[in-house]
Amino acid sequence: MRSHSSKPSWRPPRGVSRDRSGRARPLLLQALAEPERLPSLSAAGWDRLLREARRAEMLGRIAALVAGLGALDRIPTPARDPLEAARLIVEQQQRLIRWEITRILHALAGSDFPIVLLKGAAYLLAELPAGRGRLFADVDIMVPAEQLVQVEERLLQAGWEFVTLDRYDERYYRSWSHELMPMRHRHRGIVVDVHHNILPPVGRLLADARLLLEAARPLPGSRLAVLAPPDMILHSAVHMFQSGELHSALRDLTDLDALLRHFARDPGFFDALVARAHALGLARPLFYALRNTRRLLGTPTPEGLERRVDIPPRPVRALMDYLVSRAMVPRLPDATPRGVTLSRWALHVRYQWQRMPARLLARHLLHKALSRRAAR
Amino acid sequence: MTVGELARDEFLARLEHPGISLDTGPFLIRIKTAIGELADEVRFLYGEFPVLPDGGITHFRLELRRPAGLRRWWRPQVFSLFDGERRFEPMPLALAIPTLEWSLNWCVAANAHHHVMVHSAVLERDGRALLLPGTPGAGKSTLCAALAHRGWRLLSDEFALLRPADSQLVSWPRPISLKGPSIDLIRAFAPDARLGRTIPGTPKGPVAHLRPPSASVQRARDRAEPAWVVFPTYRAGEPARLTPLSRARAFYRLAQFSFNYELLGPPGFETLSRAIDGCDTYDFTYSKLDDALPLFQALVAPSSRRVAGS
Amino acid sequence: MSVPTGTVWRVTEGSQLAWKSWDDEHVVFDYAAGSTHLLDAIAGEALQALAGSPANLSSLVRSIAVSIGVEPDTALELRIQETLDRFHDGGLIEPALT
Repeated sequence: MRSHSSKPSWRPPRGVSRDRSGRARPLLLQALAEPERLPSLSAAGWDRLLREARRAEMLGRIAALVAGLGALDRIPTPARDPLEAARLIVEQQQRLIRWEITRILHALAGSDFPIVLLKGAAYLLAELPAGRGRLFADVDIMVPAEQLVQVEERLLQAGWEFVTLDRYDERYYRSWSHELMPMRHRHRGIVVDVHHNILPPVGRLLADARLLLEAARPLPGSRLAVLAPPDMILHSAVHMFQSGELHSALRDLTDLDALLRHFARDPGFFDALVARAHALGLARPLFYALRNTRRLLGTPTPEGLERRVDIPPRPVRALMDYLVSRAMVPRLPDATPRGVTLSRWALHVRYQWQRMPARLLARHLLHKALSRRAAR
Repeated sequence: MTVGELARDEFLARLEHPGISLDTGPFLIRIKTAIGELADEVRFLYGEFPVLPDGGITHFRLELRRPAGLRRWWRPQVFSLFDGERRFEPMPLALAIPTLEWSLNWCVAANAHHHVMVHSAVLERDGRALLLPGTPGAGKSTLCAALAHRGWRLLSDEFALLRPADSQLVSWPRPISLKGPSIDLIRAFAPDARLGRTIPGTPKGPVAHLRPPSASVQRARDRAEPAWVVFPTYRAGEPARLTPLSRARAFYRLAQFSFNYELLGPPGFETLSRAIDGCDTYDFTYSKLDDALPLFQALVAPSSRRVAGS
Repeated sequence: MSVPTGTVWRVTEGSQLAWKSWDDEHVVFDYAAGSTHLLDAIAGEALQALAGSPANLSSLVRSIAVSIGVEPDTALELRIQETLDRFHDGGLIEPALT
């Protein structure tokens, strides 16, 4: 095995504060912040990084970063296989996502309202760096609120079904939610979420969906659109703190980082972003987004930007910093199994292996893997 | 340096802390345990595998532990941790070695998507590979163990690993798990077979693991071209019989036995269909190993090859 | 599934089919659905015909009878009806919207 131990080891990237507990910072964050240093990572570093990335479901992202540097042949041989595995899985997922979108377009053909892609699907089809190597199990779209009923009917007619929910969930979605109940085509696996806003109308924060639709940017040669750059950031920021999905928070953070780095090339971007956040009443989520991308991933943003957005009272800020660091950063539980509860991901391995036909096990593993992400 | 070349004390100490990293061919694995009986069994079954220096890359880390506290004295249990995380239910302590083997299988089935993975035994002769896909109880492992002691090189008892680039089979020679009557059958059939401890009282009756033959372990990096796919069925009292099976049917069944071909999409389909292109495909029923083996030896003879397109 | 006999069938919109044929048998993989189908010669003909253009049972029976060189009869019709049912259950085909 090749060893790179003679090379200097990684230090936290500049501008990134140290972990307060003094523990070694997760390599995953360093890798995401400074991918150009990946080729000089030692074998021991790769060992750790691969495990952190697998745990955070970000191996595909690391694979894309290495490939983007053209550095696949410069990393230790044993590190290549897990990256290749992740790349193949991401590729198929992205194929399925693209295909699902063409099916949605087909089902809605004949109408002419805009269909705005959100999150992963938007990054993928708008060819943004945030989509590279990103794994996703669902397609999120936004349509004008008054079209929601029509969209639901058309999708049902074209073979989509509501993903089975209990009665409480159904009532929640019907009465309060900013989206239709999740739907899935009866012959396919991808879940489609149809939104008419990016926030629940019952939430404390309220963004005006019409403003978002008006500002949306059409994709060339299609009736599809994506949110305008500031709105894309704001949506991701809101999602990170409101979805309640801690395991996907790091992915949201990485999305934000990639989006901010990309949009920063437009000199007027940050002014537009701040103005938009205030106009939509989303200054607080933006503050946390900016603060945490800078703190954890070293995302370069203009000096003093956070102050122009919003500053929560100091104790709130400190608590948030603490919570974000604990929740978002994957730590490997190597030291002790510290009362890890048997998650629903736990498998009765003997049962699986001996009694489940391979095909079923494969489906089961896929379902588990996807439902962990799709669960909401 | 192989496992067997380490002194027992040193092996046990390193296994307990920080864990022993093994080069098993396609996968570098780290096993950690303080359970003494398990340690000796690992030392025997993995005796010829190269030990890797600590601090390098490993693909899968497994640790087997006993629950803490008083629980350890009442119906002792073992559980395994993948990457330090508990993902599997505890098992009776007596099943420590099968638990390790099942956990390893799970790690690969759930993660190694750079291969198309099929639940199948794989053996090789002259660079050409024989796949024996099978459900538990079909006699796959018995047949595999027998062939592995009659001139066939064992690539794997559980996993056909096909490379998407060229559909070649990658070797992952691990212990073969024999159940119930198969244990004595193989003992009698191949006196040179090296079996580990027999573990009584599993739901499937006794289980014993067969140490992979030296030649297989030493050639763990040698790949093979798929040449035959044979679906075995054990049927008491039946003569051994190979029945040609159409390639489309063989593909369909192989797909059923695959862990991840659907997950990979088009590359999965292409890899499997390219593999079938180069294969003669059969159903196989048997009851006695002595009848079965000559049929496989005859497969290798060039005259028995089916004409392309037949 | 009860579908009227005159139904015009088409290959399911939204399927992404990869084909592979050996001799006169076929496997079809729908990668969007993740399903694999094994087709004998007749079923292969039927699906290929429907992929070309939607058809109902009787026109399908006629065209397949021609391609295998027999007179259409009730046995063939029954066989193709079964095949269509199987395709429909497996999501390969659906009634064409009229």
